[in-house]
Amino acid sequence: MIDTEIIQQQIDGMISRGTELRKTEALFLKVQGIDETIINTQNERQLDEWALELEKENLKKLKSKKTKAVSAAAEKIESKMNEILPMKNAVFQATDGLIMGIREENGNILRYNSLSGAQEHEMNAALSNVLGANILVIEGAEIDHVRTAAMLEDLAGSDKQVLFNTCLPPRSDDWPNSYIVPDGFELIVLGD
Amino acid sequence: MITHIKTKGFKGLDLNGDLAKKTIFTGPNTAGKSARAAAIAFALMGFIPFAAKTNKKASDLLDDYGNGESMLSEVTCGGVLFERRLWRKENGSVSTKLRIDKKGASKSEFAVALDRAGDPRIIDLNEFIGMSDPKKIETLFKLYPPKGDLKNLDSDIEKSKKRISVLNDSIRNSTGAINNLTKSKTDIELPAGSLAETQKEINDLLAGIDKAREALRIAEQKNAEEQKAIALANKGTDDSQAGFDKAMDENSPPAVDPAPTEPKEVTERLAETDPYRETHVSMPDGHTVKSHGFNSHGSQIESCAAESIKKIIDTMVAADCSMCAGLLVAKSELKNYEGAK
Repeated sequence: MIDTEIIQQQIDGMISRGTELRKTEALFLKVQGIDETIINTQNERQLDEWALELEKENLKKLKSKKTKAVSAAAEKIESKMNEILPMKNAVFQATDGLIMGIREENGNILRYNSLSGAQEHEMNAALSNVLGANILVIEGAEIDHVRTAAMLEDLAGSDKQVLFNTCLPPRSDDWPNSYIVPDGFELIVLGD
Repeated sequence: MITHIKTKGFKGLDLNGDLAKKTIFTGPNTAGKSARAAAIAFALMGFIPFAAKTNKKASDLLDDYGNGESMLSEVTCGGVLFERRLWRKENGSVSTKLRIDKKGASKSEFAVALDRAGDPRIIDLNEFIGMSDPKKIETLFKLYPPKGDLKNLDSDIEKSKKRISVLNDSIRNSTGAINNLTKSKTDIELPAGSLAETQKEINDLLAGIDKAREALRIAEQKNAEEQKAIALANKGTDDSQAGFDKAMDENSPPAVDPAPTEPKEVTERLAETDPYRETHVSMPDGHTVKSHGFNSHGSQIESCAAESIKKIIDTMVAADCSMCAGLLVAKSELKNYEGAK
């Protein structure tokens, strides 16, 4: 008689080892699947990055096209603003949203909402000018006398009616008690 | 151009003065500099655009700028006198009265007359500043039109921005997914070797299992065949025994030859011939006793047994065992046999 028990034990041992190997195989397959997914995702991301670069270029071109289209109009608007602004530093850009304000000496753009009190009054007058006012009411209370002088000098040549309110009219350095009234302006002193 | 301004009850002031084309008003705070500009705006437009909040409601204007009962502002523009007056009626409501050169006028007549008088325009900057950026751009580009088709350009720019946003989102998501996958991969503890090596080992093992199973099957088959052969060999021995018994039966005297009424299995017949087979024998007094090997067909054996018991009794007596229990039992058994006869 042949001892079949030994053979059966060998089979059982091999099946047990096979079960272990299947578990190991499953781990390798899982890692392989992850690797494949990573590669696919990397490829997709690469394609997106290329598409993004192309789209950025496209947007740049479109903006440039718009800048060209609006530049003449923007220049006119800036010019109208500068008729009033003492520092002639108006900024108007409408290519990518609206940028409206002034350019500071260091080149930074100061937008309307961050203007100082004096700058805001100047800008309001400038915008009124742009928007077609023929009576300019300028609240110059917060504008210093140097800027006031510069502003009034410009406004003197304007064809608009100007009502300039100020507590600090320009004065002469030589005669501090005397007001300087630019040509074409009439000074009305109230409260005397 | 406004050449004259006159007010009554406007911000508590009664003003009356000429205006040059370019006028600087100066004076301390509350001297009435801004009030003049506000009065001009009120006369021309019916509201005050320089206020922190543009208010166009007559009753609010009367409360804010008037004395609560009435207020008047009149301007001379292009040689024409324009007058706007608010007053509160007895029922509390506020009325507006417009006059041109001291004559009553409707709103439209007032507007037409102003236009003819040089169209004095003070801009409501509060309204402009309060607009959204696109609306501001639209308003300005109406006054200063750009070249080309801006609408289509704007639409293309918006679409391009959206595409960029979508692509950026997608790239961000991909990066996140790659990071997560890389992390989950590093979390897996892999044993030594590779997938190919493991799969080769599995295949080798499967082949080994197949071979072992085949070997087992063959072994089991061989064992089964061997067992069958043994069984057949055993059966052959039984048959020979049965033939021998039959021959014995045929040579025996008829008195002791049991007359089988039906064929019996070899083993049964072997059992019947077993001298030590336990059986029950009916005694003459009616009770039954256990007996071995004696039955209705075994008188010859019974005689032998009786003879043997006699010899045993004689031997025990000769050995001076007349009082032994064994002798008593033997005598009793002999009696039974003789009685049964």
